[in-house]
Amino acid sequence: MKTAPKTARKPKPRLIEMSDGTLRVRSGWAYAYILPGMLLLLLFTIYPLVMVLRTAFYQRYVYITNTGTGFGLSSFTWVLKDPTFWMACKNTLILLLIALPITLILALGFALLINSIKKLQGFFQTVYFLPYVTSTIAVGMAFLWLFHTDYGYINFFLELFGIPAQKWLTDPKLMIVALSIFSVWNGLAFKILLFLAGLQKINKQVYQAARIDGASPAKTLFRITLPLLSPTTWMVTLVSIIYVARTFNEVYSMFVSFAGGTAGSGNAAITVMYYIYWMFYDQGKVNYAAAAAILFLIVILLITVVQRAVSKKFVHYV
Amino acid sequence: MEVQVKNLTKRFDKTTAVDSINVTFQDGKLTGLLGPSGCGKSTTLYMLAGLESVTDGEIWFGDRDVTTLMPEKRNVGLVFQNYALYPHMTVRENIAFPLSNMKDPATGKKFSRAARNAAAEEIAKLVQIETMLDRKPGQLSGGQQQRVAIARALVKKPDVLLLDEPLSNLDARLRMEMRSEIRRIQQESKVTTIFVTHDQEEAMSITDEIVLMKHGVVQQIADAHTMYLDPVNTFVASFMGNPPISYVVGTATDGVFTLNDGRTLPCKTGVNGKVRMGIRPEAWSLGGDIGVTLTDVEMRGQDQVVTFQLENHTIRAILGAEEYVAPGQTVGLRLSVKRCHLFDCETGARL
Amino acid sequence: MKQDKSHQIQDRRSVFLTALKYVLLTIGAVVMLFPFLWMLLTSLKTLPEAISIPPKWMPSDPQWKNYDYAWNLVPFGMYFRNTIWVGILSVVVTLVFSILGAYAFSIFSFPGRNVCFYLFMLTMMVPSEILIIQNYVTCSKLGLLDTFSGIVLPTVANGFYIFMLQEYFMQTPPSLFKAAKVDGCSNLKFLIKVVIPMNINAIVTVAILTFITAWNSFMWPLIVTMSDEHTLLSVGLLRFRQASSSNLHNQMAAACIVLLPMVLFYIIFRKKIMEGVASGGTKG
Repeated sequence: MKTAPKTARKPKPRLIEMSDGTLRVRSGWAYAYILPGMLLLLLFTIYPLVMVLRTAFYQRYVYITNTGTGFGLSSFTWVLKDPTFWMACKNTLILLLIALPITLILALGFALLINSIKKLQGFFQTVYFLPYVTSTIAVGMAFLWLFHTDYGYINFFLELFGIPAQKWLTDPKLMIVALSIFSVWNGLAFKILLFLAGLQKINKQVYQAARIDGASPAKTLFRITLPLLSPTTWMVTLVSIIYVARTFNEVYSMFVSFAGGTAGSGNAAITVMYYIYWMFYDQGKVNYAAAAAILFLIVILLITVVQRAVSKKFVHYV
Repeated sequence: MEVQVKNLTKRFDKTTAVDSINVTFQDGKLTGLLGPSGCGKSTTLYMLAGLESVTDGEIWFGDRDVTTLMPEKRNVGLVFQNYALYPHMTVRENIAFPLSNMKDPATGKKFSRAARNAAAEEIAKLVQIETMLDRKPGQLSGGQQQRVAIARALVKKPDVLLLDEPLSNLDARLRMEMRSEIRRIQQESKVTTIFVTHDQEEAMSITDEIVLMKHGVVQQIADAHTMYLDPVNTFVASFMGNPPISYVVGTATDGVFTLNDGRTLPCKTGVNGKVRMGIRPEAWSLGGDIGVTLTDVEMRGQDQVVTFQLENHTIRAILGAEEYVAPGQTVGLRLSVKRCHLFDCETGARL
Repeated sequence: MKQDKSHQIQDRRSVFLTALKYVLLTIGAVVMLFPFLWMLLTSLKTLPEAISIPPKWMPSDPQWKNYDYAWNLVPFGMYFRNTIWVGILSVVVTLVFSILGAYAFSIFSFPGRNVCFYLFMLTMMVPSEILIIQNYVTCSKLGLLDTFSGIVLPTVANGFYIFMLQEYFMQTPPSLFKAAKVDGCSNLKFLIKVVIPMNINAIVTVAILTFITAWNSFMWPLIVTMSDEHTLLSVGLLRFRQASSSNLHNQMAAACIVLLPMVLFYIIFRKKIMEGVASGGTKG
């Protein structure tokens, strides 16, 4: 029996026009282009993600052999019963709910100020952005000393105003305050820059129109600028939440010695990220670290999903 | 309200954008500020609005000196080239916004929300967008956005309405439509209107008066008719009219214009000596004794534009469409002296 | 009598407002710069000067030997070389796989494209820190512990820049691609001759952002390196803090050694860096 000649088959077009007008090439070579990224991501992101998930469900786990026994939720229940974990959650929440809003408001304020001046705009922009490029570890060492109970300039200033010296780095209540202050200072640069970029995207003529329409500066700010900036504000908030939730370097540089150990005395400055690190690297309780990591990941994904939905609902005019 | 500018000057660093201009914009009239780009017409408009400060001179709205007044105190309406609508507000909110910033001149109190909305709806009817009040600007076409911008400018009953190239962002068909709409709205609202444009046809078709500028200097202030038929210099003559006026250089003696090669054309009497003669394309008609060889013929339907050389000058003429002519053909033309103007060769001033 | 009046538009509130703006901005600038200035000054003080209360702001006699001491206590020169090397390596690896991946997604149609697409997108959502647990095991199995590859590869394994570049690549006009195809241009040649030159700005941005991230990376290098031969500046600085006990002036000299190159890099490329972070810096 003869098969139909190959030429009879309708050849697939090599070039495909997509609905949005872009062109796509049908070619097996695509896999060659994808391959380097695919290998890297599979090996160091996807695979470890799956493995961390697996590890989290082991009841007992031996790190050296990378084997575990017993499948169940015991790691999760252990972590959820661990007071240190809740301390880490509490501290991270303080950073998220108190330090971050302060950072955002200050950043927005400074961005509005920089955007509204004519002279020295570039200078202020350069100065305010500096902390973004400098090493958190190095600057953290400076903050460590500035917060020093006896030799720190912060206490010196407070004493000028009659406030007694505080034990910023050893008093469990104040440690999180010191961490928050450092976090605000360290986080401003990035947010100011993004707010400024958003402000510069607003059509200048809209402000002229507002002047012609007789709007006061305050009204222009609240009725024109802030609503028009809202897509940027949402984006900055979303990015910052995830960024702040991952706070680690700040804790390490201010409260942890090089040899590792607790985040300050009694782990009072611990964050969720430091908890994961500490459980894994310091305590060697890998399955607990994995369980905390998975809980953290779930919360991050939930925040992302909720924010995407919210921003779709409210930021819709652009 | 009559708007008067006296010796109005604007200098940026080294360049002078507006050079000591004196213009009176008549009350209730639509005046076109016309000129090529960079002539200072938009700068003048922005100085009238108060968005640009004045280097020298004065601006008077009626008997009020507004030269140093802030824009919000001048009671002007301004329609921006790209409309500058508030993208996050509905059409209704956009139009009502100016009212929320001012007190009702009748009562001295703030406008109530109901009063603001009523005013917005009334003005929306005037510009015919009353069915789109709840939409956002992004959902409107260019022409509709234009109407919203005009409504927003008009809602506070401004003393002066300023329009900055309002038609330049529209396609050709919409431009024609909006052109007559602006005319209608202006006539219905009777507000003193100043309209910036670089399009002479646009300016001629809708304005009561035209102020033609070049390099920051006013060239001529006149109605469209006068500006076209009676230009004061070659710049005005060249700027107005399409196809543009053509020029020949020669000597005028008692109504006879002699080109350098000895050919003669008729011209106005009373001017003698070496002159530049501007000839409007419609000054020519078929059936005369001026023989020319056509180099190009452009059929436009109702008429045809032909090109030929007189000496070394390229001349464009509009001829009736009924007679068939072709490039290369030699035809006899007649010249109507009324449509020709004599200018000084050096200064370009009308003689 | 005619008053001599200025022709400026009179805006009384704006004079006061402008002054207030500059005052607030200056206060903010002082707060932002203070730690850096303090570090620089302290690094030149003697220990009693550095810890004296009330503060002695200026060093009476600049102690340059603090830097000498810091530079020699731990091998900072080696840390520098390591950090630069890791920075370059990160940039090269990131550019290669991101450009290729972005190009694949922007011009190719192939079975499994969507699966790959979403898989890559997933990697953007996962905070890399939670992966250290398994990556440590992987690296030890592959013999990558305490090697430059071990520092670089897990750090750069993120789809973020693929998607950032893909958005730029997608803007290549289809007509250009059609024309290139008609001229017999191969896909690879089109990438090298057209797409990369056209998007060189975005690519430089990716390079700069990657370099800064690598330079300041900390948690993973801390875990994966042991020997001085592979230690980065950020980790080396803490090693120095440990070794120098509590000598404030020496610590600040060491911190300045780490900071200064980045500050210089920033001052030179600040426009590019700020543009880059603003356009694609949502990675945080």
